[in-house]
Amino acid sequence: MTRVLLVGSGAREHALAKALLKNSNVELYAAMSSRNPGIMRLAREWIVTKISNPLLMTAYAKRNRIELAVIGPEDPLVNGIVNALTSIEVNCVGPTQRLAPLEGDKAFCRKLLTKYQIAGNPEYRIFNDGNSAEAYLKTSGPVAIKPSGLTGGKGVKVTGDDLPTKNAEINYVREIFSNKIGGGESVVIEEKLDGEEYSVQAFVDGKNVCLMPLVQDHKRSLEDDSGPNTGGMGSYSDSNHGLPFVSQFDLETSKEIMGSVVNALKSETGEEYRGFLYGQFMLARSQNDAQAKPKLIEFNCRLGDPEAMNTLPILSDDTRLLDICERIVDGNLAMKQLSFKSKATVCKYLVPSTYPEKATQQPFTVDEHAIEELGAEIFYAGVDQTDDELLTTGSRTVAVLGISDVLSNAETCAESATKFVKGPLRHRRDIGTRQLIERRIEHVRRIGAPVIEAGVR
Amino acid sequence: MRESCGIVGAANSQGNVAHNVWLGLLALQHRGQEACGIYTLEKNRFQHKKQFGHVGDSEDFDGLNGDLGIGHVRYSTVGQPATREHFSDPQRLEDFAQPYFTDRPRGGIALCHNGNLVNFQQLCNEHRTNGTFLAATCDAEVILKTIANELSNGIDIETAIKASISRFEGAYSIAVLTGDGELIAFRDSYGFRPLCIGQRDGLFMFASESVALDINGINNYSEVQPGELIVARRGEPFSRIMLKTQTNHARCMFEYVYFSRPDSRIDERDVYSVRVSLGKNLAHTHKTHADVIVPVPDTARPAAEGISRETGIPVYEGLIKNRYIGRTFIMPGQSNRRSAVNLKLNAVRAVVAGKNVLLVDDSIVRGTTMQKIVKLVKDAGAKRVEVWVTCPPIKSPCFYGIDMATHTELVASTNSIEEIRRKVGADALCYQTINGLTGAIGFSKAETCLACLTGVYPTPLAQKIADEMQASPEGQKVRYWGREL
Repeated sequence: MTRVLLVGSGAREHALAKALLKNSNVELYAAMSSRNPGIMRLAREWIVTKISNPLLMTAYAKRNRIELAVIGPEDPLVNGIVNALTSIEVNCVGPTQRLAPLEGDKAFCRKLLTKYQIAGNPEYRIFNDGNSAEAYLKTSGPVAIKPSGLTGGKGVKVTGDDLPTKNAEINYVREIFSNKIGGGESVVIEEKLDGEEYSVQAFVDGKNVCLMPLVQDHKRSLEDDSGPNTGGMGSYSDSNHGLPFVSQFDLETSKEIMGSVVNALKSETGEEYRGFLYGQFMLARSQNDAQAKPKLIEFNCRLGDPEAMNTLPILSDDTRLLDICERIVDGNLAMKQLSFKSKATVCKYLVPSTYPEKATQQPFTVDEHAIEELGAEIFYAGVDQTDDELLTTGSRTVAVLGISDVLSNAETCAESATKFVKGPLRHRRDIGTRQLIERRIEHVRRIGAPVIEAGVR
Repeated sequence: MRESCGIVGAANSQGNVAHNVWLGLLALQHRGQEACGIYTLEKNRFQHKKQFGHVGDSEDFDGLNGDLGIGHVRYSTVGQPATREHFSDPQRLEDFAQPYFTDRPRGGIALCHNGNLVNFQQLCNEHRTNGTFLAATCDAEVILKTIANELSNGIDIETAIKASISRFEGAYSIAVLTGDGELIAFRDSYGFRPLCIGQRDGLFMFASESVALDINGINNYSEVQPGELIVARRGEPFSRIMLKTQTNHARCMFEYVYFSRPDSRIDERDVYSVRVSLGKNLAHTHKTHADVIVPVPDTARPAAEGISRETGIPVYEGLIKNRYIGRTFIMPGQSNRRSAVNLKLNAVRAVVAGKNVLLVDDSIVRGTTMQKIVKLVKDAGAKRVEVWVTCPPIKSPCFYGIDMATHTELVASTNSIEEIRRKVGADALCYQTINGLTGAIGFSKAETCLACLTGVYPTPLAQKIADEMQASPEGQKVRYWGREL
């Protein structure tokens, strides 16, 4: 029996909870920021508290004699939860406070890649005040403007969709400094890239980087990739664990970037990175590139949400997440061959109809039994479980996951599952469809990357 | 069947109190054998000891110093029962055995509890949602944390308890010890579980049953009234405060029928006399052709006596109980080879062979035990076996501290008396009537909890849960307390 503390209360943590308990002798303790009904059910004991306060977390871990902690979201990591828990001898899956800026400080991440000559950086400039950034913007081409600190996925704005004019760009930079968006210490301005994004998630034990199947997320709120950016409306992965527009070469490059960063972090800080690492890449052509290459958009010190739902549920039966976590802590991931089932997955988020603009508390219902009968899975996210009913919270509500041997069936499965969630919710029907994926392949062709493995099954 | 628990509290102005509490727990051992524990207060310093198993397994309790103390014997109805894993883990023991303790406010509070909160889950969720740590998944901890939270607002203990009980629904008889030297007892306003107090030169005590006071030489006791709060402070006479009054009480009839020791006096009734009357009332309502009356040990002995007094049929000890077999020692593997009943009971051939036997037992819950006993007696050569039950058919689950959690596990919930008779293999089966029961106890129906017999619950949430459980076929099987069991 291992006493495991799971920190976080989103769908990603629900997926972690399910995977931790699968085939494992785990007693789960959950520290959450809201009452996630999925996790409440799986946990032996749970608490709603300020999970980003390391003092509260150590007290809770001490009280329940936690042996292993798995940290879901980024805020606690940036606030030093791992340092605090490690000091009371709790093993942690998640990087220390000195390593967390990889996600928490975008300028740190860019500079790290440059300093250690790691591929993947687009053209970028870092500014510590509004005036110099403004001067730069006046002469620049299309850009992506990124506040340096954490913004909950809502801080990045790009020329065109978000910032239609030069003035809009300049105003946003000023707003970042005046309203302290993402800390307001500095801003990273990068060339705007045109390409296809993909997510590379990995388990890292300090030295070894073990990749999970590739996943593609969909950030835009509405179908056909329109509407504002969101935390992610859904994602898919294929049964061969690749994506049709990512070549083996590009995958190797991505993996190399991840591995180099783990080594660079150790040289830079003297500390080893142990936890989940999630590289958001884009296959794109930079100003100086002859052809499209994997570009690093950003690193996250955690699993993706929704991407975690695509990968954790298809861990092979002989690959237990608890075992992986213990190996991450012990630094011996290389000793075990991790394997995933040859399954395609499609994850669709159901979100309040007003998302992402307005937060509303609305009741909704879920027929879990029917979803289970479909062979689909459900993960609770922005849900408040009261004594009598389920309420939406304003952020993404629930994710449904279709799993099948082929992608098209997984898509149908997920789509059918959405029908058993009833309430004022909507989702993107196009995620995981043949049509949308073919458009992605076409897009990659257009920007000049060799598509080796075309075709959608 | 699992019993509830037993609580003891004592103040000894002439020396260490631990021995008095320990003696009290010894007398209450029948109310719980899974674990026990004592907290004492020496000046303002708490000391405690807990252990799995029987009170008498250890004499270390004498090592506790202090003039105030509370103690508990546990048999879980809510919360996880003890497993082998628990025994090697000191923290498990802390979480499992009561009293529970919190180090603030007021220099700490220790608390133990007998009963069951119906809205336990709701209160738990409220606490967790407000960021209160809960560890033991037991309602006593929730009660403790609720009172502690109220006390943090700087009010006195009486007000804090009064505010807390307005949020509790269910059965609770509770002992509290605070770091400020307050020894407290209170009982829910329905009076589900018993609680009595008494004193003699320098020793003040309260306990679930009067036997715990007897063993300490206290022969003068009175009831803690339903809804009453007792507060004893050092050097002061104890005070009695009525927190909440109500007209309809709900004293658990099972305390008289089965739980309590026959030598206890509960709410001014001798349990022994009640049981004799139960037997008499059975004899008034049913006819028998038996040659001998054989009680199923130990509870049914007084009732067998009562039947005998009315019918003139002699009582014989036709079933012998092996008193050295505790629950703990019946392993799953063994139960496959020989049933638990066969390990515990044996029939006396000399008594039952060739006879018409009238078996008397206190209750039939699942029916499986009675089936085995009847077979035991018939295998020993009885010609005919009649079964008389001192309690009416149990049809509905209990949410007030007795482990009868679902409708389906109660044989009388879905079977007629004739069907049950065939199931247990008896030649005749007679039950007590509800009037026969209340008449023997001497409380009216409006003063007694008969929910498990009638399906009518004295508190609203319990009624709602029971109705919902019965409405769905799934719910009839699923225990309300969900994963806790």
